Amino acid sequence: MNLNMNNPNTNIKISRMFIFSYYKRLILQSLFTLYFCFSLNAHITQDSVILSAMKDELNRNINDLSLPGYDKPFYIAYTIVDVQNFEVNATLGALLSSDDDRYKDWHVRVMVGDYDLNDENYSYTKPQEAIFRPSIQMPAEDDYLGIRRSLWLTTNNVYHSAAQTYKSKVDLIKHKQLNKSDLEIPDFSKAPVENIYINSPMLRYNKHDLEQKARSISAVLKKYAEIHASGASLSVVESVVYFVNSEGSVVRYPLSLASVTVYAETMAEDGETIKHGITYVENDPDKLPSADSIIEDTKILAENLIELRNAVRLEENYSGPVLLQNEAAAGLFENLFFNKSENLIASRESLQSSSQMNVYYSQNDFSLESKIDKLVIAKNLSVISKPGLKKYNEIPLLGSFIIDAEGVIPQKNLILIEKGVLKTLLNGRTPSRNVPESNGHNRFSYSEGNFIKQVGPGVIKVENTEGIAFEQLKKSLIEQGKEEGLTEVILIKPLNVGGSVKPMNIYSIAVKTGEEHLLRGLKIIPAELSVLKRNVACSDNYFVSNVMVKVSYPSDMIQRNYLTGSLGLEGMPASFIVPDAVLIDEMNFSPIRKSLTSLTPTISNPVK
Amino acid sequence: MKSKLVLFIVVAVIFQPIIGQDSLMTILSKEMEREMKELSQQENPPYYIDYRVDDIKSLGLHASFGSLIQENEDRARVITVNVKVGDYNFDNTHEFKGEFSQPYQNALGTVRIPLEDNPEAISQIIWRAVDQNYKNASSNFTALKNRKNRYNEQDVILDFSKEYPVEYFEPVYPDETFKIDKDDWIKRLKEYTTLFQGDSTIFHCEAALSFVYDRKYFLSTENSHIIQNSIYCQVQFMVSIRHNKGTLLPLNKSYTAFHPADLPKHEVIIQDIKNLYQTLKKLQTSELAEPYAGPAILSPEASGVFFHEIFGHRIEGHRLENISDGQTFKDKLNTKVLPKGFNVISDPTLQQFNDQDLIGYYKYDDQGIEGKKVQVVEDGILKHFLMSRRPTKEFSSSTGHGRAQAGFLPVSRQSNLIIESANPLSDEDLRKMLIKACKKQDKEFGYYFKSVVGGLTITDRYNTNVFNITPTKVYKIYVDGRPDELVSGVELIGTPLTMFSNIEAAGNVKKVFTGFCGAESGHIPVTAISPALFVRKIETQKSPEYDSKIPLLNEPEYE
Repeated sequence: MNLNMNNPNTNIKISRMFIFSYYKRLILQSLFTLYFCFSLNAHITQDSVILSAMKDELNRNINDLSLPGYDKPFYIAYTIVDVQNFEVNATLGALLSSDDDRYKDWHVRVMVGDYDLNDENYSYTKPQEAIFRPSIQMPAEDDYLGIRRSLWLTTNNVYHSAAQTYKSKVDLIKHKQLNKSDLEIPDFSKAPVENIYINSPMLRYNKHDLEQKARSISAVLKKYAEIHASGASLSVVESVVYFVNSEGSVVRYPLSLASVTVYAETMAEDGETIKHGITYVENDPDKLPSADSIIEDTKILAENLIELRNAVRLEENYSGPVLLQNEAAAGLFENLFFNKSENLIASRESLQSSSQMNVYYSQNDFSLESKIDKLVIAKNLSVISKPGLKKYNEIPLLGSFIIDAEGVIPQKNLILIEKGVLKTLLNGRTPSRNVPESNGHNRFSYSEGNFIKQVGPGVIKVENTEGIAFEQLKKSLIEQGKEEGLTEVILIKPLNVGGSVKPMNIYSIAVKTGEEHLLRGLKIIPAELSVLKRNVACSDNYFVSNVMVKVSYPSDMIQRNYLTGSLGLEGMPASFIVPDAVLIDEMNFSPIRKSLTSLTPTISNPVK
Repeated sequence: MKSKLVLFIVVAVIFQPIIGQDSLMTILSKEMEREMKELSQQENPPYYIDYRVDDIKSLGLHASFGSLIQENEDRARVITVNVKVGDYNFDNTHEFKGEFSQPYQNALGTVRIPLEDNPEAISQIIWRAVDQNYKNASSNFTALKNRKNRYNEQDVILDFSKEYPVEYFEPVYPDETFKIDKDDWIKRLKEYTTLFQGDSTIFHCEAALSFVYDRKYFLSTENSHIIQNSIYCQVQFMVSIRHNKGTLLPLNKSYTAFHPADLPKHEVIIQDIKNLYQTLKKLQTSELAEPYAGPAILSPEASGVFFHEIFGHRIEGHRLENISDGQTFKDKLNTKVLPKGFNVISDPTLQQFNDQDLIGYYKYDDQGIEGKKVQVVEDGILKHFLMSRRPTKEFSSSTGHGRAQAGFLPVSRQSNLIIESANPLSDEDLRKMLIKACKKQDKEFGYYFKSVVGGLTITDRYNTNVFNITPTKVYKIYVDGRPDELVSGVELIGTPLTMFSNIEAAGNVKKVFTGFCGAESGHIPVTAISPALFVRKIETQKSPEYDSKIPLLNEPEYE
């Protein structure tokens, strides 16, 4: 029991901001076109407050910051993301919430040492210090001194930590009589200075219209007595990224995202809860589908759920060939290339000191770093990063971006895998053993209202040299099943609706008759990258999937969960251009256990 | 039978207008009736259901060192449902001796319902919440019933008290009531925090305004229908200064009223903040005190927190039948627990004290029972506990103290706790008593605890039953007549019974401490109104120390 003169419920947001302000983090994100302007000063008018505050504070700190007995900083970078959020949730035609929020997310990176050797990429046991360092939350307003005060204290705190860490690292190297040349990997790569100013009008979304849209979409589910819970949520994150560093880069660009999620939940007679949702993501709320179009999709979603209530339950484990279509195929590639720990992202080993004072690089057993120039997937497949590609077959690409979160312009055509052989990995400015330079893929990922920096994909194309027509792939699937002595094989195809996250229907196909049955009550056992090393037959058509990717985040490879509200925007905007059907040799499914107690409602649904 | 019927008719006639007056209440009533009807067909039907809806509008503004750092305005409607299976004598919440008690939160936690009075949308969400709560209640009840024979319970105490239904309706406040001049308040908060600019030893400085309007709905299958308003606003300052030896010293100040217009004038607050800054500068060079045991005077505010923690939480009725609780006062009714002449009252009906609005005020509690003034201690003798609808051996009915935060199930909690003495002494007399006691105990000085920020206590018997009060302003009062000396780095600690036996006298001026009390049913607004106290012996410990470093560069505007 406790008593406090301050209402504990009023300070939640403050503490969140304080916590993350302590950490050294950088920046980034994708953006969408608009125009370039290389003459910065000509365009800095209303932004001058934020950028001036950043530049003035950066200049003061890089020149004057010095802790006696320690080195001065050699690199400082500031990022401010000026965010305006709006989120509305509705159920059965009524608003559940409608909230907007304005704030600034900020990141400060301070390095002590030089490009070859600095305080980063080093793990050691820091002495326990009960030291309190002040910090001030970044003002929501464009308040010149307020912004500087916040940067001033965060820089001070990050510098203290960096200076002490660097000293410890240098002492260790000296003590072990190592030379700089013994340290195989530099700590920070050089990158060109960029001055990029992309102007954009602030999005003019109408709150009232968006509320009405959420109401009208959610209202359509009133017609289904079998649906136990449902809703529609709409979320807009409109932001502008400001980046300055002590190398002279000054960058400003817009970064906006908007999503609609509609979801519904039902229960089969045996008590299995079945819930599905559709999420549409765009970089502008005006580009989201119309309410009418989403309503049509919502009806399909509801009818599919009702069909699923009566679908056949998977009763035993399945292990065999699977044919994946459209978003299911894209989901497979996305998961294997970016969600798993063994993925197409460079992995930096950090310098460690053990208790015996051995100095060594940490070992990352999962990294694909050691497999450069080796065959990692089937020879008919190549994987290319094309971050500058804005459209494919007239379809706008959500993952396209011009500059990354470290102020680096990405390489336009980066071959990651060529005919099955791994060539390079996505990376930012922290060199890895095999990827010493940045290829401009340190990007922003949106997470719980914050923008965090992470190396990840923008636009990824999976090219296939041996295209096979869909019907032929389906025949091969059945043939393969027969050869393996299976009675049924599996086809996964997404529900025929718009959106980027959508329900994946799983069908069993009887090998004798070719009859298809919708399945329920099963889960997919995650596959490993090695599944792509065997026979992977792909269609001759390409398909675009625009999604929010959670990099290095374990996820269901196909059955992506829908998330409501701004959670629907969690992750990094990315686009996958992949063959629209993929047949793989083996995937595993297991039945979901039935509950022995009754889970079905005791009371009838009031919506009839 | 006849009397029941009459009651029903009277109730029906009176309640009809309330349901008709408020569309949300109409929707809630219809859904409750439908659910109760369907559930009555079950093998273990519920004997009681209640719904609480908190329709909460809130506004928060935060400034620091002259900048607005946060602004938020929210509205949410939260429903809390309570489904009880069994009967008043023995239900799904029964606690057998030696078994741990039931959870205090809803099965589905905090459930939001639409902001708009849409019957289908609201009913469907309530349906799922009630269904889940019913399933839990029913299976708990079955399990408890099966264990009933194993325990030979001597005392037959009801699990849920029998109370009369209530109908009560307050009209919704007009929109203007919840309107403030936001720009003006932002300007004021910025100005308050600008006063701390330029001093690099001020490590944290924040001024905040929060304004909350909760329109509270309660209805039950016992035919209670209540709609009442709860509103308060608060201005808070939280400032920390770096002590010369490195540790951080906080100092807080807050003002509370039901409406912003009743908060102190701008000039008054400015002057208070200037005074606060002067105190901070004195604290900066003050002595960091050593642990101490000896006489002390607690200011009225400090005494309020002290009583809330060491006494208030131990007279909350629901704890006293709980085997895991320390049960400090379980068998102390009608015995002397405080010095003669001391009275302790819990009074939720009190709206003001000396022109200060009291946020521990409410008309009906969160179980739909009218809040009643309870004489807890009379002339030092313990007379009553604070009762929710969870009876004790001695008290079978509620005193309207069943309280909870939205989303939590109510237990007995405090409201406005008032401490009185029949023999009040002047400050001078208290000081004389302190010096006399110091001399007797051979102490060079005694302590005066002037202001506190809060405290905590533990009442269960698996942990040490201690309390801890966090003072922000503490003075040494010297026996030899030297001027009082401000010290820092002290916390007031102790155990309850020793403390009670050491309280010797009270002052003649009562003051209000306003706070938010956190316990098993969430955070609730409370006050404690107390005179200063003279305590023969208290104990202090050192506060946690954090080394702090002044930033390497000056503030940007003073570069």
